[in-house]
Amino acid sequence: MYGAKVTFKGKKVNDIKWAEVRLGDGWFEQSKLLNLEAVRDALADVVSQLKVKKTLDVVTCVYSPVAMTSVVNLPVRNSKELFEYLELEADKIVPLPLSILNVDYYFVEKKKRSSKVLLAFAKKEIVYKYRDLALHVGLKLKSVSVRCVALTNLALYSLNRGSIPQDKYIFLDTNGEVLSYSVIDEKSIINCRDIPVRGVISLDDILEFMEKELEAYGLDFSDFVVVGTKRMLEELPEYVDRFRDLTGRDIKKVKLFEFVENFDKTDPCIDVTVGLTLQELRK
Amino acid sequence: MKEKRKLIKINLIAREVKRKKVPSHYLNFLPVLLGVVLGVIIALGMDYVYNSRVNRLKREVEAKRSELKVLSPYVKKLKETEAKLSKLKKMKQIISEIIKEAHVPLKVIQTVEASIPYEVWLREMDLSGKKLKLKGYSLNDEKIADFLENLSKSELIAKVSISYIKKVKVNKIPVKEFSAEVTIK
Repeated sequence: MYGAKVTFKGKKVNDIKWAEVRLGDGWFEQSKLLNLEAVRDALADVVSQLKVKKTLDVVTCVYSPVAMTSVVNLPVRNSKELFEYLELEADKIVPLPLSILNVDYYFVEKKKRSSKVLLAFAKKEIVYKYRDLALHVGLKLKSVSVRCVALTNLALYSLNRGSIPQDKYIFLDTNGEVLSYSVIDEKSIINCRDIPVRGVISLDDILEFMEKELEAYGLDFSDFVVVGTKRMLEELPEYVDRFRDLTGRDIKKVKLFEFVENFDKTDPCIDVTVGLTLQELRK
Repeated sequence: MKEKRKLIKINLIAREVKRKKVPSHYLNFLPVLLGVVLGVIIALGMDYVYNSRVNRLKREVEAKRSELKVLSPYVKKLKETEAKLSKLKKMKQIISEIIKEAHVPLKVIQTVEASIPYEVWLREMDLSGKKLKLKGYSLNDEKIADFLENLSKSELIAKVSISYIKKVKVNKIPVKEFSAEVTIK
């Protein structure tokens, strides 16, 4: 388990401290927390290492198969109208009844008669389990996001700060469980998803899916620069090779932490944590 | 200066969906939807009516079967009685025939006796089944004709035909001898 304490100076990230506790295999499988006691102890240890004040905002993220996201175009202009579409859209995106899900959405772009909306769904049982775990160590969980959304925020933040050259990107990252990807053009997010990498889904399938999805948005896959985080390149070298075979291009390495002056760690999950935290900056 | 991209805020701990609404533009399909619903209701109604009818008929069939089961010994008895009755009727008919046939000779004799005029005498009368052969004498032909005509008028007699008439002498008295065949009904 990884924890990061992010401090800000104004709206800029000033410092990141992180802590790691090894939980061993089998604590989390198929979207179930199998060893709650071990997770509680680990979380308490992380909080202790980071010397977290109990008044701090605590945020975390979930990912597939606990959470699912999709960017869709809908004939709505506001939350009230969108609410009427939620169940219908959930049916298309999530193979679960809406009654067992928590939902949130973000209007990516509003047009005259329609909107591009990022929809996110998560199993409420797991979300509340995380909340209870936080409560157990005396913290109040303020926000639960989705991993690929956190990656997107981190990428957007880097682009806004100019630490990454302006271009159209497909950002790739992994935590060993899922491959998170985020498609971003000159203006905003096109789409983002978490795809399990331990299953039967190959990179060929993922690329085919991405290409078709971009086609549906009227975009060409070859116009996008594909970049991966350090962990993605190290943990999934076969993806890098296969990508080269399939496209004749390389997955370029991207550094998403250059904006943090004193940050020299390459923790595998901290990028996500930072990205997740950044969304709080919008307030 | 280039416009900054907005960061995305997603918080899945905050919102649960507790109600379900039909999208407003879906109301355009409301008439079709109502039509479909109405159709389904009618189909279900008809199905219910037909099913009720079928069920009622099944119940009736079942009741009749139960009734038949109760009545079956009586039906058997009835059939046996009907068979006996039929047999008795046949026996009665046979007896009636026998009785009828037993009375025929008497009736024939009575008919012949009633039909025969004076001056006609019968010498032979042979009844075999429905055939009656008569032989006799008369003083003249007219009396023989009267006799045969009287016979033919009887309800018992179907047909009368003369076989022959010839002159003969009985005790030296000249008379007419005749023979006739009569068919009984």
